[in-house]
Amino acid sequence: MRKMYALTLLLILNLFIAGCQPLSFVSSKVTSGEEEQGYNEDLLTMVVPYNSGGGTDVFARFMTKPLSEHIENQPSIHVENVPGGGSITGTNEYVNSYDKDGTNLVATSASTHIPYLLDQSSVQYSFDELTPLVGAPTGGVVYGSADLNIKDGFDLDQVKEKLFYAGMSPTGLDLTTLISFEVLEIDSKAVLGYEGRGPARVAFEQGESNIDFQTTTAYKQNIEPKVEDGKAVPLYSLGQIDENGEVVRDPQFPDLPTVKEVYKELHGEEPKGQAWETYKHFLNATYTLQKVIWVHEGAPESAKEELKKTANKLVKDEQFKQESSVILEDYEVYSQAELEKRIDNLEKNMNEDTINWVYEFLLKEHGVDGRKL
Amino acid sequence: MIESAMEALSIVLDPSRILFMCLGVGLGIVVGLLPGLGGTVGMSLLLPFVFGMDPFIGMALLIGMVAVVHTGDTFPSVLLGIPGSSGSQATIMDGFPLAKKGEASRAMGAALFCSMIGGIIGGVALYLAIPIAAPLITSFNSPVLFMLTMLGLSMAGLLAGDSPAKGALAGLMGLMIGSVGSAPAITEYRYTFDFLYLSNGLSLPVVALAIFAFPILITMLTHKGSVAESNHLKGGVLKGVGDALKNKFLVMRSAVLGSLIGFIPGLGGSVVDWLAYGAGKKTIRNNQFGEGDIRGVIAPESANNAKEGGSLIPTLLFGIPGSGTTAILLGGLILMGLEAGPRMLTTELPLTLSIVWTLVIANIIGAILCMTLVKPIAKLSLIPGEKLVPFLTILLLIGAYQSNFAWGDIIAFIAIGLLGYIMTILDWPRPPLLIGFVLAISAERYYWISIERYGWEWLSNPIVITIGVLIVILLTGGSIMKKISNNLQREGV
Repeated sequence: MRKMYALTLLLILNLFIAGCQPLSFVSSKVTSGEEEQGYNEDLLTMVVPYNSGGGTDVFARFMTKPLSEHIENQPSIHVENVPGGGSITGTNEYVNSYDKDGTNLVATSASTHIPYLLDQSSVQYSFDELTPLVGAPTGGVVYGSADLNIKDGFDLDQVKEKLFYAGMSPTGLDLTTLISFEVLEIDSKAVLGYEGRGPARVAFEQGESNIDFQTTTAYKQNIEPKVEDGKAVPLYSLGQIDENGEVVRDPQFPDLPTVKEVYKELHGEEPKGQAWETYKHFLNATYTLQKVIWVHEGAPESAKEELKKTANKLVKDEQFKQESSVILEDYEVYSQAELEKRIDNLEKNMNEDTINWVYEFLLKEHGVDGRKL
Repeated sequence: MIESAMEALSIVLDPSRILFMCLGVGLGIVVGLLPGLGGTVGMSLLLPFVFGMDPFIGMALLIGMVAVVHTGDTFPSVLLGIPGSSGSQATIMDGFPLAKKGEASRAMGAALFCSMIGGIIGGVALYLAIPIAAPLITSFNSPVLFMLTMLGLSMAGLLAGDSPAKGALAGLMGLMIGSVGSAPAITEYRYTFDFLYLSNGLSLPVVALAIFAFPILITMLTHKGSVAESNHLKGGVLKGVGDALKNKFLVMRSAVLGSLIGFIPGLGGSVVDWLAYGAGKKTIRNNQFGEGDIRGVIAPESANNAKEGGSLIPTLLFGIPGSGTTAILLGGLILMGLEAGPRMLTTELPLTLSIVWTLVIANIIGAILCMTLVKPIAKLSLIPGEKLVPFLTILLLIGAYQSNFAWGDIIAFIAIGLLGYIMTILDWPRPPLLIGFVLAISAERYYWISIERYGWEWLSNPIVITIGVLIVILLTGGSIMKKISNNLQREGV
């Protein structure tokens, strides 16, 4: 009798384990033998490690159509949401269990990149295992309340009121802004825990915070009218990283000084030191390379070549430029070669000193032990 | 503004848009009807289609769907005692006992009619709020929001049934389950035991389904026999409509409450049915809530449809989603080339007004459609439970699985389901647990922000004090009233 129980249990366990395997394992690509004869797929999958409706999901869904139009045979691309773990779950799954045959793509965003940069233990993906195809930036503007009585970012050292900053979490997109405060020695109290940038903006309107940042579209839609009404003052833009790794003005905000210019004005010299290096590193990973679509590094060369060609065709496509202006916030996508170079540079700049600086910063300023994440 | 409203009506009544609205309504009723699937699922299903659509047509489709989810979800709540979506749990409390008495049609009639009225009131609330929305939303700062979550939690006491202690414990248990995952303010994981699945916390659909539906499955199997105790279905839809008309003040009151709660961002509109139920229970004299009182169906059903109108205010005007459904709606807007924000009141005003009309019209179409379905569907309550169970189990598992598409969903479903079953056996109230779960993160978030931002100063905020007094009255008032009525009863004996 007991034997029967044991056997049944074993059977259930086996079925369970079998069930855990992704379907693709069972139907493991029959075509794998002919992979070198070109790239003639009719269905591609785009893994989105976020819930449907979010920024990255919208970006990915939008990109499926123009991408498929430029690939040979025009395969349809379907989006697969694998949410959870703040996008770590889905990206891990993409790297570990999706077929590396060039039919599976993944779309990532700043909140996928930060845990990787911070070397969090739950991260199983690495930029080395992925080949970037399409990448697009976003920008950020830091602005203050009119009550601060300053005209622009150059007056930041004359602020007398206590500064309050409303944010979500020290290890999310806020991190870059918080590091910029550290670079500029802005003494603000960061109140974290808000549900998103939207609620943080409402907090600014209520006077619960008096210094805030928004990304490009949100800034243009919601804050520029306030600037015109004299209720908000733009202080500086977070800037963009150029090919040489330097901070330059954001093309969407050509009139706003960057962190670098504000620093120069306040201190009379160029910013330098570990804080500045870290700022550039994170600005690059979270803004300049905010949204990236990748394919497995291990995918067949023919597939990778075709996908790279597609990405480059996209850069030149005028119609795409027009249609994408809302989704890409009027920024342009990078050519594939440039994107790859930028990712390589990003990887080169990753070092122990930067990570240690961030961990120390998080522990000292926000009481978060980054090593435990 | 009335002129532009009329203009928007003519846009909405365009045949092609009405067609898409009806498509939306159809889908909304189906996802509402299927236990476990709710507005979030409907939105995810529709999202790929709205890309590049004319915003008026796309919105007709999406809003048409959202508007009627809480109309369709009444069926399983009343007939089977299983929530059709996470917004119709309170309907079970009295709807299910009514179905047991064979009065399913009556309960459904009242519920559907109230859903319709509630939905219309929600639409009107959205319309009226348009000019005053901005100052209204910015008047809720974090300390006030914290006190409102406390007010919500104290409602758990009202739903505790006979034993306040058990209710409080269940509420605390809910708070604890809600705190699983990463903390709202600092990146710190609690009770995750290194499972990545738990790092985002448990999802509401999983918990809501497990705590209410799982025990029902077991009871269906053990008790045998059908839901309705008599083989004869008495009372028609019209009787229910009559009941609703008799209680028109309750309908109005609950609907206004529903749209108000939906409107406050970050309060978790998913408990609005419980709050309306609790408020009804508190304010109606001589009620038999919990034993098949038709008013126990009317209150939550009026509120949950009204919520949608309210929750669209912060979503459209501020880009702050109040629920999973509206979060996806924001994505849908972007895919149609729009962006939520102040522009929805200026250049995009016709679209905003068309949303108001869509809400109203979709609610009417949805309610009428459902009423014609009552008769055939009410027969479900005559089917022996054990024949329904396999079908329901699959539906519920799919419903749970769709929240994260992970095995963890199913494991969590079963684990919490067993907890729910134990609670039913021990006669512990389950609603407080759910309210605690939903409000856990908000309560913690706003408490943390209040302290971080204002120190202890926020306690002297007049609105905070007012809500505080209200909570004290609510909590002690109940027990004092109970004592008085007990004394009266004793004297009577």
